[in-house]
Parts: sequence; C-alpha cells; structure tokens
Amino acid sequence: MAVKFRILVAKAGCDIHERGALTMIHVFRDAGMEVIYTGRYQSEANIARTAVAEDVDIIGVSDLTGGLPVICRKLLRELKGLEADIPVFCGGLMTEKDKEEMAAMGVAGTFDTGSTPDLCLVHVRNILETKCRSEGKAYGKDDNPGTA
Amino acid sequence: MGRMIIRELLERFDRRDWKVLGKAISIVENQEEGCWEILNHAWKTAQAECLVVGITGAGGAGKSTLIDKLIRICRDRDRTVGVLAVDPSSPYTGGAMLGDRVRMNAHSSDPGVYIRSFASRGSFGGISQGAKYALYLYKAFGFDVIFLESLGVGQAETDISCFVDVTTVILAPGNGDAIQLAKAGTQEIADIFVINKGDKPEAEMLRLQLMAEFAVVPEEYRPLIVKTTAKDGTGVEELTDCFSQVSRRLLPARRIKQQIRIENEIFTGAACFYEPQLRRYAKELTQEVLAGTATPFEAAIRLGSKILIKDQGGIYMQMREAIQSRKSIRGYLPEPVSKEVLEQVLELATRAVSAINMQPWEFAVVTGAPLDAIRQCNTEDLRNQVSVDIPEPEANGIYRDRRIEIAKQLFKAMDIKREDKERRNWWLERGFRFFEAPVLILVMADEEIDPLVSRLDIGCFTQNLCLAAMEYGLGTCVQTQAVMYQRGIREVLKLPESKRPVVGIALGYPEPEFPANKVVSCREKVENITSWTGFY
Amino acid sequence: MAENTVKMDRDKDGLVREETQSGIYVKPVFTPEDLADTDYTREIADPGNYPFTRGIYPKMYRDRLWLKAFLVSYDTPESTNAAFKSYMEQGMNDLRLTCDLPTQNGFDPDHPLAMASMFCGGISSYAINTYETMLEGLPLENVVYEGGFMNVLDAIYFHGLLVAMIENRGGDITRLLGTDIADPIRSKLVYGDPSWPTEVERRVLMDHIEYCLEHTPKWKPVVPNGIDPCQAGMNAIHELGEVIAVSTAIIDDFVKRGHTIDEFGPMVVAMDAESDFFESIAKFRAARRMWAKVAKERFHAKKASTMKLKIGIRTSGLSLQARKPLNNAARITIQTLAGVLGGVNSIDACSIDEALGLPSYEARMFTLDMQHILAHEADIPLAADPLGGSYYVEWLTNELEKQADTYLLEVEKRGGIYECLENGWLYQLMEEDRLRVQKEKAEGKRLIIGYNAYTGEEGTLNQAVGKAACTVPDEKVREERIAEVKAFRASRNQEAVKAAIRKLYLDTKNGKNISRAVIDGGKAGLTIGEVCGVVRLGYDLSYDSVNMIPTPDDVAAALKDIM
Repeated sequence: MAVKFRILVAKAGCDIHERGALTMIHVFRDAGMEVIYTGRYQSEANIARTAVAEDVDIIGVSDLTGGLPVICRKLLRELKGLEADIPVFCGGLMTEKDKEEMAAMGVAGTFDTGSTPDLCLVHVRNILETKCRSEGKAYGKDDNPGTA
Repeated sequence: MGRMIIRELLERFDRRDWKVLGKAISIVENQEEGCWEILNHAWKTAQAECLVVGITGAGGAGKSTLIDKLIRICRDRDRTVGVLAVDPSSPYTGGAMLGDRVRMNAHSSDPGVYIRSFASRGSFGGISQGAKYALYLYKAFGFDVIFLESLGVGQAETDISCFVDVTTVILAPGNGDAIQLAKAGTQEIADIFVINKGDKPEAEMLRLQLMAEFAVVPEEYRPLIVKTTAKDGTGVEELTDCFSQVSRRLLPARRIKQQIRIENEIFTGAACFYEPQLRRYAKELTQEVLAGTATPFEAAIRLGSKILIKDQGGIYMQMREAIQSRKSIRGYLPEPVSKEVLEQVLELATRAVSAINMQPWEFAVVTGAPLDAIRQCNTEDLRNQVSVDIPEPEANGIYRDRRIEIAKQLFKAMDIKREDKERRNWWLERGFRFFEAPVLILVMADEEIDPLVSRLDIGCFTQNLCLAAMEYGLGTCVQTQAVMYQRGIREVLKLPESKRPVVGIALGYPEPEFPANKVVSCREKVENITSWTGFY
Repeated sequence: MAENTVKMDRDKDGLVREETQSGIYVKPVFTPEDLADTDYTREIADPGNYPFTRGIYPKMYRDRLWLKAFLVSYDTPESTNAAFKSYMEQGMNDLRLTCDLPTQNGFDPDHPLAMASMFCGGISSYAINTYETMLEGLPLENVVYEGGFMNVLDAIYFHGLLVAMIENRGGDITRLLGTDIADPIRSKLVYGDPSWPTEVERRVLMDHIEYCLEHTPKWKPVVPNGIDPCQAGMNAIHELGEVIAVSTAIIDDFVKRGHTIDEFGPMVVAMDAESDFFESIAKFRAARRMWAKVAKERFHAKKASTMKLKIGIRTSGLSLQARKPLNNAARITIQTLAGVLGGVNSIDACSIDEALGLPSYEARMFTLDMQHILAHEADIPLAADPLGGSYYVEWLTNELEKQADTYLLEVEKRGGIYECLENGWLYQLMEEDRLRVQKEKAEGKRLIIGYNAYTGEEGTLNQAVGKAACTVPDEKVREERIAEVKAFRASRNQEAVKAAIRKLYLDTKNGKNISRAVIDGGKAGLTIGEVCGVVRLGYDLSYDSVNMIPTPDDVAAALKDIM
C-alpha cells in the first residue's frame, strides 16, 4: 500500500491571518496528502504534542507577522524534548536574515510571501520522499501531481 | 531515527507512553510491517471498561464543537479521553483536510486526552479501515471514554453503530431535511439524537417532530433526544449523563454487537487480504472474456477458484482449478522438496479409492545422490541399448493419432525436429532420467495381489497424487518409462523381490519457462465418447 | 523565474481580463448613454450635498488635506516615542497606536501565547505605564489617535487609558480626538476571535458609544471595518455591503437603546484601497451615497452632517509583493491616489517593504513624501472629486451600489448581519471570494507583476530594500518585556488595584456602563489582560479566552467574596 503523507499545518502565537495556511492546506490536499490543521492560537508545545500524537511526517508553520524565527526555535526545542524527529518548514513574513537564521537552526524550508504555492509543494514532497526512501517505504503511487 | 522495533514499541505502549500510540496507529492504518503483531497484542490486552461513543451527523451540525465540550466535562469528572476524528478523503486526489481537530485543540496540551485524525481513504459509512484498527489500540491503551467522530449517518454495510457502544446522531435545526435524515437509516442505529444549536426557535419543533417519530416505539427501545447548544455548552452535561444511561440499557446488546464486530473484522480482513489477488486475476480473466472463452459472469465465478493464499507453507487450491490445470511437468527447478511436504502429499493422495479398501500401494521415495545413481544406471542401459523390462504398449487407430499428436506438440515446444536424431535421443534419454526432477516416487505393488486389481487402484492413487502435489506448488509427471529399466531402481533402492514396481512419478517445483511445461494437451469431447441412457 | 510564471510575449502582451477585480464586466468604452438614467442632482450632487457621492465637503481637500497616518511601533515605548516625534515633524498628524498581537487579543506579555507574537503588528503596550512613556511630550489633545484592536473591550481599554492620562495631566477630555475600531463583526469574521460572545460585544459597544458621546464627543468609538475582511478575501462589492450592513446594525442597536442617529453623528468607516484603481474609487463614492440614503431613509437623520460618511482607508497590504519590492512603490502610489480621487478623509498607506518585514524609516518617509508629491507637485487636490461626471466612474459607482444592494437584501433575508456571521454564511462568502482570486492567479487570469508575470532577477536596488527592512525583536527583548510586566504588577498600589478589580467586576455583573471603571482601572495600573479577564469573569466566562492560564491568584483573592 502506497504511504499517504500526513502533514500538520500550524499557527503559533496570536497571528490571526489564516489565508496563507488555508491556501497551503488546499494545495497539499489536492496533491493527495492528508492535512491536519491545528487552528490558530497554538503554543509551540501544543504544536509539538499534536504532531507526535498524529504521527505526522512534516510540520508547516505559518506566520505573517514576522515571528517565525522565534516560533521555529521554540518549536524545534519542544520537538527535541519529545524525541520526535519531524522536519519543520515555515511560510510567511520573513527577511533574508530570518531565512539564514532559520536554516542555521535546522528548519527544513523557508517560504516567504513571494513564493508560489507550487514551489512549496515541490520542496515539501522532496523532503518527504527522501525520508520515505531512507526508511524503505513505498510512496507516491496515489499522489496527484497537483495543480498547474 | 529509523523505524522503531515493534517489540520496543509494544513495551512502551504497555507503559502507556502516548508518544508511541501515534506511531502504532500509523502502522496499523497503513498495514505496515508489524501491523498484525500490534493488533494481536492490542486485542489480547484490551481493557474491559471502555465506553465508546460514536458521534455522527451531517457536516455543519456542530459535532467537533460538541466533542470539545464533552471532553471538558469528562476531564472535569477525571476521565481519560481518546478521540478518533474521521474526515472524508477526496475521491479524485486521494488527499484530505482533517480539520475536526481545530475545534478541539484546546485539549492538545492535556495529558489525559488523546486526539487523532483519520482520512476515510475510500471507506464509506463514516469509519475508515484505519480508524477501526486504531480503535482496538485505543481500547488496549485504556481510555475511560472514547469518542469516534465521523461524517454521515451510517449505511447498511459499514455502519458505525456496531463499532461503538452508544450511537449518537447530531442534527441541526433549520435544515429542513433534518427530519429526513433522522428517518433514513438512522432510525435503527441511533441511541441518542442530539439537536444542536438548541437556542434556535426551530430546535424545539424538531425535537417535537422527532419525539412523534418514535412515539410508537416501546419506551425501552426509544432513542433519547437531547437539546444542546455546543457553542456555549448548554445541555452538554445532560448529554454526558445520557451516555452512561444508554450504555447501561444497551448492555445485553453489547455481546451481540461484539459478535457482529468480530464477524465483520474477519470478513473485511479477509477481503483486504484477498484484494490484490482478486485484482490480478480479474485482469487476467478480462483477457479471456475478450478472447471469447468465457462470459464475465463465468469468469467471476472462476475467479473465486483461482485464489491462493499462502499459509505457512501450504497453498489452498480450489478443486476445479486443480483438476483443470493439472499437467505433466517435464522441466523442474533444482530446488529440493522437503520430506514434510512429501509426507503431506502422500497422506492426501492415499485417500484415493481402492478395491474393497485393499490399498495395494507402497512407495519408495528417492532424491539426491541415490536418485542420480538410478539416473546414471538408466542412461547407461539406454546407451547400451539394453532392452526394456516393461515394453512400451502398442497403439493403433485413434490412440496412435493421439500419441503422435502429443509427441508433435512436445517436439514443437522443445524445438525438436523430426530429422534431428540426436535431439530426439536426448529427449528420450531425458525421460529415462525422470526429466531431471529432484524427487522420484516409485509406486510398488506386492506380488500377492492380482496385478489387474492393483494396477487400477494405483492409477487412482497416481491421479490423486498429482492433484495433491499441486496443493504445494509441485509439478508431477507420471511415467511408466520410469520403471522400464528396473536394474537401477532395484539395485539402488534394494527392492525386495516380492515388490513389483508399477509406475514412477517424477516430482518437483516446475520451471515456469520450460517450453514443454507450457504444452496443454487436448481432450476428446465428452459427447463423442459417451452414450446417455435414461435421460430426457 | 517562478515556477508558474505566465509566459508573456512582450511584443504582443494584451490584457488577460475584462472584468474589475470583483468580477464586474467592463465595456471597452463608456458613453453618456450609460448615465442616461442617472439624475445628477438626486444621485450624484455637488460635493458637500446629499447624497455626498462626490465628497462630504464642498471644497474637499482645498480646505483640508486628508489625514496621513501609518503604524509606528518599535520595541520599546521610548523608541516609539522618539519615532512619533520625528514623524510628526515630517508631516504625519495622525497617530496610529496599534498594539501588538498579544495585546490586541487581551493577553499580557507573560501569557503563554504572547512570546511568539510579541512586537508583531504593533507595540507591546499592556498598561498605562507604557502609554505614558510612548506618548511623553506629545499633545494628548488635538492630535488624532487611531486605535486598532481585536475587539470592543480592547478599544474601551485603550480609550480609557487616554482619558486616564488626560485626567492625570489635568487636561480636558472632551478634546480627545480620534477613533478606535471596535467593530464586533470584523473581529469574529476575520479573526474568529475567541474572546467574546457576539452579544457581549454588541452590548459593550453600546456602552462605549454612550460614554464617548457624553464625555469625549470628539472620539469616534466605533469604525466599521472593511479592511480586514477585504484582506481576508472579500471582494469590493461584499466589502462595501459589509461596511454598510455593520454600520446599519450598530445604529439599529443604538436606536433601540432610545437614541437617535443624530446623537451618534456622522459614521466613520475603514475601507481598503485595493489594486483595481477605478473600482476602489467607485467603491468609496458608492459607500458615501449608500450610507447617506440609509441614514436618511431608514434612520430619519435630521442633520445633514449625520448623513455624511467619513472614510479612512488603508492601502492593500495583500497586494504588496516580496519580490522586487521597488514595484510596491507604484502600487502604494496608485492605491493612495485612488483614495484621494475617491474623496476619503484619512489614508494609511503601506510602506514598500511591508511584505518583507517591518518598514524601515526610509520606506516610511517615502510613503509620506509620496503623498506630499500627490498633494503639492501633482496638484491633485485642487478640484473636488475631479472624476465626477466621468461616464465610466459614475457607471461603476452605480453598478457597485446596485450589486451591493442585492447583497444587502440577501443579508436581510438571512436574518441580518449578525445572524449571517453566526451561521457562517459570511465566512463562506469571504472564502469563496478568496478562492476565486487564488484560482485566477493560478490560471494566469490575474497577473501579479513580479510574482506570476514579468518575473526577473532582483538587482542591487531591490535587494537593498529587502536588507533595510527591520526584523521583529528577538527573544531577549521579549524576555525583558515579560520581566517588566511582572515587575510592574508588583510595583502597583495593591489596595488601589484590588478596589479597581472589584469595581470593574461589579459594574460588569450589574450591567452598568463599564467605561468609568475601565478608566479608573487604567489609572490604578490594571493591565489589559486583567481588564479583559475580570470583565470575562463578570460575564461568567473563563478568565483567559483560550483557557491556557487560570485566574491569577491576586485577582481571585480580590474577588473572593463577591464572585
């Protein structure tokens, strides 16, 4: 049976803009993935716990107010505390400096507001397929190549 | 990190480490390696006292918000809670948005609550295969209360109601079809009807309508009807109390439900197991239908007989299929055949009929170096043009034609030209070498018994053996040729004088691509050789 | 090149759409025939005359230019204060006091969710001390303050602090000038604000309005907001309708309390200047006409001033692109111009680097300078409503009004705007609009320069803009903030705090107008978290809207015997 990718889309802190997260949820779903959404007003600890409980393959954090480095740093710490080896990528408002900082702390992908949804999707699939290969699992037969 | 070893996972599971519960569920949901081990373990260690509540209803009725409030009340009463939330997968893309969690996520930091989302992945009726399996894990994990949230109101086959103790259907007033929903099918399964958005004026009317629907039903079978306003929590305490009330009332039904569940589990589990084969054979049989050798309906029935499932070394085959497809195998793989398998084959084969149960047959089964020695003897005898101990039978007329026909078929398949003497000799020699089969079964009869009797009975046995061998994926070739030279067999096997070799059966795993193995011999039509008397 | 770039042939690049941004089909040319049925005096009228299509003042900007404002926030109140002073010297005369996201949600800096979002979206201003520092040396009267908050209670708190400060300084609170958003629909619709049941917000809003009318008459206590719904997806027609519907609902509630619309005075709304130039202009004109009619026909306004709709706009943040940020200069200029030609009263124009980070000083200066150029170099404001009489613009104004009216009828049929909010229909509409736009972008039917069309490499100029954008302060500054709030709480006069908590709770419980209690609470040093929490307790809700922290011990102690 081809493995279905499970992806957690999360919003931390008080950012209320859901548009980006909702767009990506639809993109991932149309690409054949199972997307779990935490909703807003999540703490990083919550997000980490949810990710482990749902046994997701990857976490995507969305923030449009500039708080991504702070959020990602805390989230990675929380995940480590739960011994969870789940990659994290993020999208939203970020400067070049933010991107460098986040790459250095181990964030698997950074997508600013100028990135198209498909760019993000392609990158996420690469991460997931690589992970699958290294674990020896079959994947991809059911996946739809996605929009456009 | 890599895959966790199942054993370690189960240990942590037993210690109630919630962090592995998610992983365990993924394994059973995807039916990955270790799946059955985990499920078997969960079944055996399941806690008895778990209340499983199913919450179903159309989208927008407020299920998730209601469950959020229900969780709160359970937690206030110090109960641990497990939640399975099922959402539909897109039939086109296969993806799913699992959004029920959003309304419950306030509880994700509570160690006494575990929530997991499931995509229906093509299942109907509200509960996915993965969620069903996960439910066993939840029960083993020992939550006090388990909520199963799903879309839809249940359909005949995959009814959510047999998987839960209490079936709750949520209705929202102002839909107009709320009453229709209540009628169609849910009438039988709902134990509790919840009218959410109870602050709306239409809610009361809906409640009265529902009560009228069930007025004729005797009170102890009547579903309870509760009004709630999930948004602010009104009526939710009352609902929670209803769960215990209903579950007590339904205690006798529990056992029946359990039986239905187990039956379902076996049935659907088998269906899952067989599915890949069913698909494959359906594809093959499609070609036959297109070629005109079967109708789709005949093919469907034959499909069933084609199913093979491996069960620790045994292969089960349908009789019709076996008889139909038995053929003489003249090319084998070098793979040896185990004594245990041969014993089982022989056990089966000796169920053959024999005159007044005299069972005149005895066997010498030989393999390895001794068999090669016999082969060597036969080869020498052939090359030295020793005359055979048992002559080849004569044939005339139609029988001669049939012999020539099969010979032609074989020669064509093996690319042996009539003029090619050398190759023809090689083929002849090959026969004396039992087609290089790894095993030879020599069937003997005692001199005591009348050869005419024993010959018939041994014939029956031989056919039985060929069929029995197919059970185990073995091919056979019945050869009188095997006993034409007796020097080799007598010397190597040290046969007593009183035992007469009647026939030899070459046996082994067929080499699939060996040309002669693909030859299908024909049979005379029954109508040409039968006279029917007394039939109208 | 971006993956889904639309391949354009530069030699024959034609238009890819025939409709406005919200889907209204536009003919290639408009003629007098398109206005044959429009009566100038009745429908359009001169500026300053009912129904105010052409503007609410006869000479519009000739007498007074539009207010220029933007968000100013830096990590400390001190640096914010310095920035305010500096900008005001450069011509900014409207102070935007938006607080950061946690504060907007009613969370103090030490709330578990505050850390991730501190300093995002505004200043971390949790109590009167921060405001005092921030506004030190600035005139509290005669400067227009605008507060942007999530919900009504935040607005009351903010307003209350300003009142408190003026009283503390011995000033005249009737001269407090400004607005706060306090729109109960927008916070629920766009933000799904978990804090308050809508009924509570509606009630508290009325209290706030009544208090302001009586004590701070120059303060507009509510500004129906179309900006956030628009940014969340609503198209121009729905935004227009929504703003009118919310305004109507508020006056409805107000009138039910026994007042008249004339007591309320003119309505102020906040709208968005979106990418579509003419549609935005028409939208503002239609808004004024529609509200004037509602005020007169539905609410029987007697005074002409009551029927005037004041419009404050923000240029579309959504339209800004992170790639090739120099292009944003064109965008904000065009959108600002749309506001000016649409006759709005205040403009909050974005900065060109807002899609990259927090605006840099220079970017802000450009935004101001751009407006000065429009006013003084391009001579745009010389004549009022210069596009009045244009066949296209008048037709589009009519069309927008027509479609918005249809939408409003639908809203009425479904039980009114609050009902539509509660049952999710409004949200559905917004989502549909949003998805439609997304689809158009993906299909190349809506071109975004630099994103899905005409993409190219960024050069040094563009990169420099990106580099100059500011990042939000990191953990260290946030930790300091948390320590500060804790220290502040400990430093207060505990008796005064206790009394203030009790009064606020009791006033809430007894259904009184809580504005006074909030002001006194502010003076005593109650933080935003405490004010929101205590009022929530008064309404039998949990202290914390997201249920992450329990009622703090000192609050519980203060209310022990009366709760």
